Amino acid sequence: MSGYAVTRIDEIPKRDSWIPVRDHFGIGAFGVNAYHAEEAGGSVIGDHTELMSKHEELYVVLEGHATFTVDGEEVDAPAGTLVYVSDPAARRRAVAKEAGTTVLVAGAQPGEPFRISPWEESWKENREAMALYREQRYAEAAAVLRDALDRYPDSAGIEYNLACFESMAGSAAETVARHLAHAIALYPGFRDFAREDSDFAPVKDDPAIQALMEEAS
Amino acid sequence: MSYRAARLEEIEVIDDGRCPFRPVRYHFGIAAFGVNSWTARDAGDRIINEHTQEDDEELYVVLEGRATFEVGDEKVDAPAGTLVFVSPNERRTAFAEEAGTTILAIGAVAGEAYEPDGMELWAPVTPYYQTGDYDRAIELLKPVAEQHPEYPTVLYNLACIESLAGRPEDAIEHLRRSIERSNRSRTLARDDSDFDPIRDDPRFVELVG
Repeated sequence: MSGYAVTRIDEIPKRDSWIPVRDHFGIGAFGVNAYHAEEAGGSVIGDHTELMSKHEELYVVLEGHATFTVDGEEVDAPAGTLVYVSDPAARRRAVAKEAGTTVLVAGAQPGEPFRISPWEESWKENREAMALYREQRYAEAAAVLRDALDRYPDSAGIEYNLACFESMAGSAAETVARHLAHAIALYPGFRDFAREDSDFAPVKDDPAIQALMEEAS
Repeated sequence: MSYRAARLEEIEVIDDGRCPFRPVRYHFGIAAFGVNSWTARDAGDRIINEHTQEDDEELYVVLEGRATFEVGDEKVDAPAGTLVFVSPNERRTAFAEEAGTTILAIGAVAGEAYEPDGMELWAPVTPYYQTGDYDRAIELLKPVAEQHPEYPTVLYNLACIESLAGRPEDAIEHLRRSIERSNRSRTLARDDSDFDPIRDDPRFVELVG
């Protein structure tokens, strides 16, 4: 695209607490999103690592007041604070200390061209499936994503979660391996991610699964 | 340590004779994208220098105060909380409507790995370059280039100034080292009038191809 685009951050349609800034502008050079908590005590940045995308992340507290926890250490972060997390393996999260807290985060992988996160395109389907997953309704969660896969046949995010849900639903290891292999082929970062993912415990002794996880990234 | 935190105002300001900026990327050592911030002293200050970015996509985030952006031929009112996304090759500048107006800019090139260029390091030398005080500019920039050989743009700009100062040997050597780091320096040098004094030098011709 050419030219420019302008918006107020609160005018971008939210996806739950997520303000999809990158997607809104169609930015292709780096990742950038914002997250908003209405209430004090609400989660602003969910607990996660960046092992999948290997991004460095810079968090910018735009308004309100957050408490970050990075690898177990607390960081007090009022508006105007920058928190830079270089290590993709570091566990990080942030909770709102004040109502109406907004945090912007920019991220990308050093030395590599930026790639859009595999979660972005299929967030609706993954959200619906994740709600079922949290209720341990694994077979139903897998059914939602099998259906979504017809619409997004090359979505690494759907393939990965489908592999997880099939595993937890007790499906054949061969089925799990097929989806996981496709997810890794589309987005190699999923290999390291899968090694740490307890969803694959039911199939961990299967030779095809072991081979997938052991190949060099 | 896997993380670092700072309040924006704790990051030391660099003054290049225009609107002083805080080198956020350099402060943290971020390697994957560029990020800087500017704070206006007074209402009316030009807070973002007028420029185009040949390849970079840039997202401006108004953190405090109120700015007016001029992009292409249009004016954009941008109070705190405004995001302005500008594609490559679009001319842009911004003025502060209030003292203390603060803008954060994030940038990188789509489809390419980010290369930190070290602009934070050569920016303070810019006023000497612009006023033609090349000897002083070289005196300031040469130790920076020696200390930070990882930044191709520092070497490139040093070569430009040495060319203008009538020091062809040094200019060619520093341009060579810049091109070794980044092929973009080669492309840039072809059309850069700073190299006019050495354009016919066979070593320059060989370098830029």
